[in-house]
Amino acid sequence: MWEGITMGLTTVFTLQNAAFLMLGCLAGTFIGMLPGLGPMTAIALMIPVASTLEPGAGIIMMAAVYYGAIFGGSTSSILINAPGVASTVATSFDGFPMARAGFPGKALAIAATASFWGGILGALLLLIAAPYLARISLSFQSTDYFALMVLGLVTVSAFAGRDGMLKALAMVVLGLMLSTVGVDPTQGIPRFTLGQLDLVDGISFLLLVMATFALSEALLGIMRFSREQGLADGRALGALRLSRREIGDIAPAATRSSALGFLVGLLPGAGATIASLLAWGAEERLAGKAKPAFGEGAPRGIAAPEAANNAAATGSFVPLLTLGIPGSGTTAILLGALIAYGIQPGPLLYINEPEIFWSVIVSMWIGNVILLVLNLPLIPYIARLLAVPRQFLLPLILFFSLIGVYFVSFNTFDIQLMVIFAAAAVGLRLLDFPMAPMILGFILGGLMEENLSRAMLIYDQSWSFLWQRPLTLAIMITAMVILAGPFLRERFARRSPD
Amino acid sequence: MRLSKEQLGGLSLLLFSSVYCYLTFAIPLLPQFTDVYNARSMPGALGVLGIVLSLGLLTRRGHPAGIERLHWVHGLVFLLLMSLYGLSLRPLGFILSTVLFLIIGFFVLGERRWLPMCLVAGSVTAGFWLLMNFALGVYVAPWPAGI
Repeated sequence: MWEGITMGLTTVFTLQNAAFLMLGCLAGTFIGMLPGLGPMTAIALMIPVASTLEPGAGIIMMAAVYYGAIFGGSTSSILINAPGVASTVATSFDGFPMARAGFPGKALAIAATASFWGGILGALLLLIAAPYLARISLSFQSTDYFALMVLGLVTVSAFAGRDGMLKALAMVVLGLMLSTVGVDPTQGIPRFTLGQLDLVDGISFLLLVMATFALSEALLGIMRFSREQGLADGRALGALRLSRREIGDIAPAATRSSALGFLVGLLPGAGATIASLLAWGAEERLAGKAKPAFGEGAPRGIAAPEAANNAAATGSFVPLLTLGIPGSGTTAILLGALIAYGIQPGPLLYINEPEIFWSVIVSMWIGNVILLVLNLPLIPYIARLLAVPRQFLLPLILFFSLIGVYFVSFNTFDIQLMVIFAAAAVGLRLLDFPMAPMILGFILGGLMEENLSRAMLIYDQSWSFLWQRPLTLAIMITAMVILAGPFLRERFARRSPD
Repeated sequence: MRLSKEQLGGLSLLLFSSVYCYLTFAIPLLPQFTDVYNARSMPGALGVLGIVLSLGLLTRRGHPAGIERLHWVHGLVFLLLMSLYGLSLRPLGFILSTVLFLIIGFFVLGERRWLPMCLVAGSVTAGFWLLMNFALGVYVAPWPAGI
């Protein structure tokens, strides 16, 4: 392990990589702060830049964008009660009341310190868990991977709850359908290309992510736009320092929430949002009647969700790095970016490209230090972005999204395709259909088909691998139970006398 | 009868899945390839699954979809503007097409101060082009061909 840490440190501490780590943290904070633009959009917007870099530098930068965006999201939650991302909604419960009470700087400092603590503890747990799981997953076969992907997709849908599950499943299937466009992996036959040569290579994941997240978000902003709405008035933030007593007060809550967040982050589909809400709820129960009450600006009410969401973000890297299976929409985009680099995450990444494996883990530590030491003092300046008039900001977001994709492919057909996908995404979002399951389905679709066709080849064109291999069978049964869970719960609830 | 959001989404997905299923049968198969698993297998299964889930959504009862007050015209104008931007990138070059795209975008959203509009559009476009060209080594023609 120490060898790995040394290797990671050596890789991260090159001048170039350290610079891109800082750039990633800043860009992530910057983009994540804008309401509606979360880590997924932030990473998608940075992929065109990352694609011009060495794989190591690119991955380090994108990981930095990820936790930078989570940090940035908490800033808009606290200052203007408009969470940049769902995972910082819980931060606004206490962050905004504290800011309104005249202590925005303090609320930001608590959020940053707790985020830092969550990130550091999360990275420590990742350091312990990832190599261990990577060694176990070396024994996994194509059939197990296929089953794991089914499990991942089902779990993501199940977390949408009974009401949203059908919608989420439909979106997963839509993503899987879109992934089948292009040459098929078994026979090399073009599918669903509609005679367009530009579709033979399939739909680019960057194009789909940009269209369904960045473009559709900006378009919805445009459709809901009113010139009166201002985001921030540029008020002074006040002191950004915390006293020892304040640090002592939030430390236990941040530690508990970090552990909880990391564990929740390991689960596919759960992610930072659920982790932060769970942590806030748990701390509220623990606090009892302590003053200030939760929901009225309690420091622990800010620290708990912030530590949990950052630790969960780190935890979600475990299945990505060790199994090559993303547990969330954000890590699905990261997986797409890794594949574009020609890197296949999974147990072999740990063996074949340890410098990437370890540098990602080490960069999380360094990145969290940068977030605390560099970004926190810069927050008053970065927060001015919130005062940029939206009639300027929204067309600029559209421009960066369109040109980001064009600069990768240099194909204007991609821009037209983005417009079509963005229009469809706006429609689906207005109907409350979630986009993240679709992206997960799209990214996993190709890998699923590859593993399924390999499994069929190994088992002589028979589906028997589904029940002959115990591990595959166990994973598939788990997936079925998770799938049936919300429906069974509803049935039992109806039968119960209450 | 007013449809709920689930039903409207289900109807759209049903249409998409039906077309997808139809196109699945158009995938040619190699005559010598007799394997159970072929190029049509996964799309076929997905198409059927898509139809089943869409029908599931269609049967869900819910509140009729409310009409949110939105600037639909703005949305449509921007979709058209983005499409035109894509078409103009090559003939007009990066700088001209981008400046026009941004200025028209600002204007549509109600900005009427020409100086800030031109300054923001010009500086962002020039800055981005310089960054891509010199810092990241990604070249795109700045002007129309022949200039």
